[in-house]
Amino acid sequence: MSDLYEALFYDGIQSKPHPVYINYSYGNVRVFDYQNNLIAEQVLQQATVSETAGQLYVYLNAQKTSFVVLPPAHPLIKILQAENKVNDSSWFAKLMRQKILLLASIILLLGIGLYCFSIFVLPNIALALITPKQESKIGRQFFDAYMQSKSIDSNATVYLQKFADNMHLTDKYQLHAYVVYDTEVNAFALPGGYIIVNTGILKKMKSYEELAALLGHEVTHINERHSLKSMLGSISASIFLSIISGDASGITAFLVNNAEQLRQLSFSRKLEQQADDASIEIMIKNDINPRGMISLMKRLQEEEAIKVPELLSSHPLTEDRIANAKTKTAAFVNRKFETRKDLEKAWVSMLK
Amino acid sequence: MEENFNPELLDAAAELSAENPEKSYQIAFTGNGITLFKISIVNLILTIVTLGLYYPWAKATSLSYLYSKSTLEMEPFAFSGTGKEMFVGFIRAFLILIGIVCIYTYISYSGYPFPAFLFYITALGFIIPFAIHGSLKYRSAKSSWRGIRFGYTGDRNELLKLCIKGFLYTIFSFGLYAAWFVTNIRQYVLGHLKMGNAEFEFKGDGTDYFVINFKGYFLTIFTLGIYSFWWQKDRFQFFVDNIRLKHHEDKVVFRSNATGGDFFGLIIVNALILFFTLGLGFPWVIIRNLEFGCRHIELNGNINLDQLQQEQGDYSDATGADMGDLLDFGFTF
Repeated sequence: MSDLYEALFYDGIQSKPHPVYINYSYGNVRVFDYQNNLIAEQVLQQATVSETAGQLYVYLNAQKTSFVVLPPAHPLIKILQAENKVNDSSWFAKLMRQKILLLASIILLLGIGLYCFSIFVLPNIALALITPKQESKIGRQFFDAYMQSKSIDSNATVYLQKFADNMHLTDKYQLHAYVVYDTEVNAFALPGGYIIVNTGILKKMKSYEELAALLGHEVTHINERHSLKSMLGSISASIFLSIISGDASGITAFLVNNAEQLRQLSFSRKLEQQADDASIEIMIKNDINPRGMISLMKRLQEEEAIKVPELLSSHPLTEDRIANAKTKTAAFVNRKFETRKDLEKAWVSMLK
Repeated sequence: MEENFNPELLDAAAELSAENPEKSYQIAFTGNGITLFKISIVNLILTIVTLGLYYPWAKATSLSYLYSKSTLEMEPFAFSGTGKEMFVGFIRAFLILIGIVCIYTYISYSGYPFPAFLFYITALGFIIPFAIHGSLKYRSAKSSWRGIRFGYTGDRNELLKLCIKGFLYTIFSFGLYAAWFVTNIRQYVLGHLKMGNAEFEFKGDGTDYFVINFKGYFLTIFTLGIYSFWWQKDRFQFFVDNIRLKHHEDKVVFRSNATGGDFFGLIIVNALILFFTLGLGFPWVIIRNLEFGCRHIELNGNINLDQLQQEQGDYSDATGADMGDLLDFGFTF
């Protein structure tokens, strides 16, 4: 039997401490009273050891009501602390033994991983889960929110809708096209079939082919779910930021109020080109001269020379896009396209 | 408000029996920011890796640390709650809340938005007292000092009645009743809180609290916010100075010596720490708050703390406590 040391013992029945002898051997803590009767014992591994103001507290039961206190500099303190540490194999204990710098790096890596997950993976999972029908509902909500501060040019809208209906634009969604009073030279698509065309851009255009090019471009963003993808990306990013900053209400605020931001979403150059190319194909299918795309681009470029409108700032390198449109339509330079009377009629009525 | 408290304190001092001599009790907090920071980082790592499931264990470790560094008469408090208990409670609380949200959504989507709203409000009205009750029972049963458990002996239905009454009165008085509501709840809760066989008591009166808030509210507006630190001091003093711990004929009286200037220093420095560390200094803010509380609460009385007896049983259902966490109302005692 190894050495006995003096210590204080609390029995969990009353608050008054008892002076006792304590012994530690073969991983067991034993407590004896002054008559050498064993009054408590516990395997060190099952005990909780903690230090306060230099004193060591060895809690013998899970409720922490029965424990031994060793005064500062007690010969057993170092031994018990060391053995208790070594035996604690929980992840918490393992990590607590590491340096703060390492822990901080782990956090940083996890943060980057979480960020990538929320920006690249999460949106795609959500994209696969959302049906076109649900997408239309979401689009409707954004549309309603956006319209609270805008008014619709109802005459032009009737003919724009007619124009869109007469072009074969989409099988997946029911298309809703609106003309909105706004001098800004801009048009944009919301998820689920909503296209909004400003009166500003309408007035700049000189032919129905340009409008067809614009609608073809925007409808491709809808068909290819570009807006939804961008929106989910932004939501994921804001969820990530909310988690980081611990502000969950930010998500709700984003969903309800940020239709305006959606309007300003920018697509990558690749997506823009995809939309341009698809628009050209749609025009050809509809028997519309695809070179309308080139004149639309030029129209926007003229505007760019005056000021940088948002449609262009989010559509980088107009010059490249014009070049691309020229290449894609080169085969049709000499082809004669009949005027689409129905579209032209709607176009003329729209401008009245 | 100080003039109102002093006579009462003198009364309380006069009530002290002569059997045990009067003395001051020392309370202190000796935790340090670096350790709490490390605990928080490790907890955060494990919480992220387990997609949040580690949360109850994280809470248990940080509470254990904070308790072990809080001392009364140089002896630490102990927290014996476990991650496992809190995890089970967390799952139960989560399921209950999910259930409520599902029923709400179902009724609402069936075309009855108003009944759905009523259901939701009523359900929350029942759940909040349930969560407070559960939190108090769990937290106090898992808190001990010198091996003597705290305990909460309040009745859930009584608390519910108090909450419903307070809630309705507060609505019909346009919020004026809130001061009495808060005071009544505190009176009930502390009146049923025990430390072994010693009993807590809260002697505060709703009218005093109303005056503090009335004065505080308007002076804060008139002084463009500067008075808010003194308002804070008054509220802290109201909550602290009215607490008693009674053991048979003996008692301990709590008293705050914090000044408005002290609160000014605490809050401004905390804000600066959070601002300049981009929130990473949060553990130091917790440490500073706890140190502040211990430094500015004086305990005087004649209870012989060697004579406390174990009287409160163990209670391991953490559902209410976790519900409180999920609903995120910062109820502390």
